[in-house]
Amino acid sequence: MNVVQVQELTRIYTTTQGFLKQKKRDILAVDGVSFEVNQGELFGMLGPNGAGKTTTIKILTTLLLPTAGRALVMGHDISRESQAVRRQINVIYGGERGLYRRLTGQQNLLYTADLYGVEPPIAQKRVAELLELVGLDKRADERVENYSRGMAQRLHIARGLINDPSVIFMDEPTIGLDPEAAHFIRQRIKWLTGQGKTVFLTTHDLWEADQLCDRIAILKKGKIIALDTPRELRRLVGDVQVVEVETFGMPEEKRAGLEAALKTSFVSVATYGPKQTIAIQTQNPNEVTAQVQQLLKGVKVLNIRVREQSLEDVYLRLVQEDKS
Amino acid sequence: MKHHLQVFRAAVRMTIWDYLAQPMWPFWLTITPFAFALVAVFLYRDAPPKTFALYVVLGSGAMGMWASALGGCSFSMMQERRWGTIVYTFTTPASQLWIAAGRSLVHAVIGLMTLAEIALISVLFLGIQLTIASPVAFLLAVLLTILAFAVIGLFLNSFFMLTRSASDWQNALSRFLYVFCGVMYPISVLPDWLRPFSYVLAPTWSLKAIRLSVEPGALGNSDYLMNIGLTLLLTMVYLLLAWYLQGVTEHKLRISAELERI
Amino acid sequence: MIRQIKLLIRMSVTVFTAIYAWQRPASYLTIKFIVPFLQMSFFVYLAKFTLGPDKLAYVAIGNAVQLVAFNTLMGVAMTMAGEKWNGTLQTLLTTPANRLMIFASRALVHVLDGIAGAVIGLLYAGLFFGVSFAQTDFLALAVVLFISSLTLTGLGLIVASLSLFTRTVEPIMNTAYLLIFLLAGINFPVEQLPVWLRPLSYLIPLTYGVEAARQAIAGASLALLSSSLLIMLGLFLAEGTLGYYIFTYFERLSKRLGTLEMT
Repeated sequence: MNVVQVQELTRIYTTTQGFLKQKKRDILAVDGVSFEVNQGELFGMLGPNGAGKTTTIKILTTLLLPTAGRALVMGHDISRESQAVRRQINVIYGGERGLYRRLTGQQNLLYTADLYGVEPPIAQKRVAELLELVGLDKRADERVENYSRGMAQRLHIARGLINDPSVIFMDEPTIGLDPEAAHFIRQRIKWLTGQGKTVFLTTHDLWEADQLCDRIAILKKGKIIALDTPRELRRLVGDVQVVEVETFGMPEEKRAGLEAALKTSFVSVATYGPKQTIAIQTQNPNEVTAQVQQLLKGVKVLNIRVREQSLEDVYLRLVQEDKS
Repeated sequence: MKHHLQVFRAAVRMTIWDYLAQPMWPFWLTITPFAFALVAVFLYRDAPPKTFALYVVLGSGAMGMWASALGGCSFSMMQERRWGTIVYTFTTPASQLWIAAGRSLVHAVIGLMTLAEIALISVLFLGIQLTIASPVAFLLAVLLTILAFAVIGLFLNSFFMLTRSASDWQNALSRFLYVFCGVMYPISVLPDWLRPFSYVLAPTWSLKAIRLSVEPGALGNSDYLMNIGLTLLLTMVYLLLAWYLQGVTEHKLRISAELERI
Repeated sequence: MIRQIKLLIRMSVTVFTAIYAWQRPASYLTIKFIVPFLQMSFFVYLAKFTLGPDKLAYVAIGNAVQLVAFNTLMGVAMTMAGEKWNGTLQTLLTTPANRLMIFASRALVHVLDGIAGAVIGLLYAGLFFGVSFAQTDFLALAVVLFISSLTLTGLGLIVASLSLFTRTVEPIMNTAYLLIFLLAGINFPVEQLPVWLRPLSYLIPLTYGVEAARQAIAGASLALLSSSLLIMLGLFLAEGTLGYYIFTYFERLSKRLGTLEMT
């Protein structure tokens, strides 16, 4: 069964600027997107900032109306049957916002349970269970303003499960968390799909997406440019390997030279302080390795290795290619 | 309906939690009506005790309720916005109207604090005594006054959802009702051309009813009953308007995407 | 000297635009025109009912002139609150620019704003509440309004300084404003207050300002009002100095404790 069905979804934001002479400006955030999410699937959405991921989530969770197109969640139209949709879903945005800071963790959950119409006896029991699930049972009676960021995010997970939703939307749930906290959240997300829940996840963490998601859609400028399983996505850019070169203090002109010389391959450069990591995707790793060694003469090369391509390589290639 | 009542109860409970978490809040919400009432204490110093009780003491309660309903509701919404919780509550199946109803009722009741303060000052320092001849009629009128202020707060909820500068309007809105509802003087003092404003405000009538209820036999008094009736009628009209506006507002917010902005 | 004045004016303009730029015109107009009208109406009708029509002018003028307090005191204190919100307080305190200059530029803006408020109030008093300006010595009235507004900045500074140490400035500011509103002889003469409260009234420059304005409107000349004006200026100097010291004290204290930005 298709839990989420999206057809030609489009969203335009209209902003006005200025007081006397009002200027209207339209921003196309989501541009005719279509996809489906299946029951029990962990569906990921990747894309650069402003690609339309969050807007998609906001539309699917009935916070915003689409400008055009149609979307069904659990068989209900998100525009016309929003109440029916709201009963069966929940949403978790990353970050600390969205909690009543002066109330305790438990009070936050009890209040939300009432808003979702959870029967009070069931709510009592569920709140206790969820607090335990996210490891906050010992600090349930503390005010949220005293929580750490990781704790707040864990409370968000509990809040998002309070109505036992069929579909859970998560917008960058691990953003800004330390590795341990992020690991905790990822574990719980995985656990959810084990419970038969459908999860719709957006993230900037490609490793996370690779680990968790059954299928991934890559969004760019409001359009889906790729949609498949992580494995198939990796295969999408052909049977290539990655030559990874770590350098120290590489001058800018060398980089340009490298990109020009290797124009048949896809080159991405990441800079960490004085260090650079150059990743070159190619079908002939040996040839490229030799070529690079030649080109980088005079630059301090720390390490060269050949590896299998990761989802990150694929993502960068898809997003950066065809800059039009 | 069952869900609506659950939401209403939850909003009441949550607002009480919020008050308990910041004990000074009621005080700051009602400090202006309290000071205004103190001025009235001086201006009414030569009035007979009954007039004093009916206008200064009751009026202070009305002003307190209104200041608290208005300030509380707008502050609650501002807080929802600042903390980003509004984005979450908006997408729950709960009706925003019932959340606001629970909230504004608590806020309005909290405003009775001003009445208690002024009553205490009047009894202790000024020796004022108030006897209520028809307690049932009095209670009914007081409850309706609370309801009337709460419903105006509810009515304004859509406005608070739409605007990010609600606090700028608060001072104007609070004083508007002080002037026109006849909280501290009968509306007959107002010039004719200003009086229509009074007629469309439900508290104008409920406050009149309270003043009539201190006379014996108020429940059988047609004047009293007419004021009660008008209060109910106007409150119903406000409710219908609030319900309609809320729908329009929510639709507008789903288009404008203004809700998440602080 | 001229350079200093030029600098002062330039800083004032910057401050003014910085404070009001974010405010929407609609809310500014509400605060400036609608709130004063409503508040004045409330007290005038209250007085009409309790004291009779012949007391209207007393209350109307009092409520018009107290708008100076509403604007000046709130203005000076709110500037600090605004600075705090925008996080510029930190930078402001660490600049070596002359402190007095900073305050002077702030104060000047609010003094003018305060006078504008009172003028609007007096217009209402004349148009709607039957106050007659037939006998008025306008020069004396103008000087009284200017001195009233100016001398309140001293108190404003104290309030602003105290607010450095609280989470938000509004509670302290509102309390201060309402105290002035109760004690300064706006709606009823100071003599009606309990004896133990009266000394407080006499510490508020506006107490003298409101009375002087009533007299100027009734035709009193500057010479006649000069003693009141001198007392106001004296209070201003004392309160300004005190405010300045409280400010520097809290500043040092919060630097030491590291709790300057408590929001």
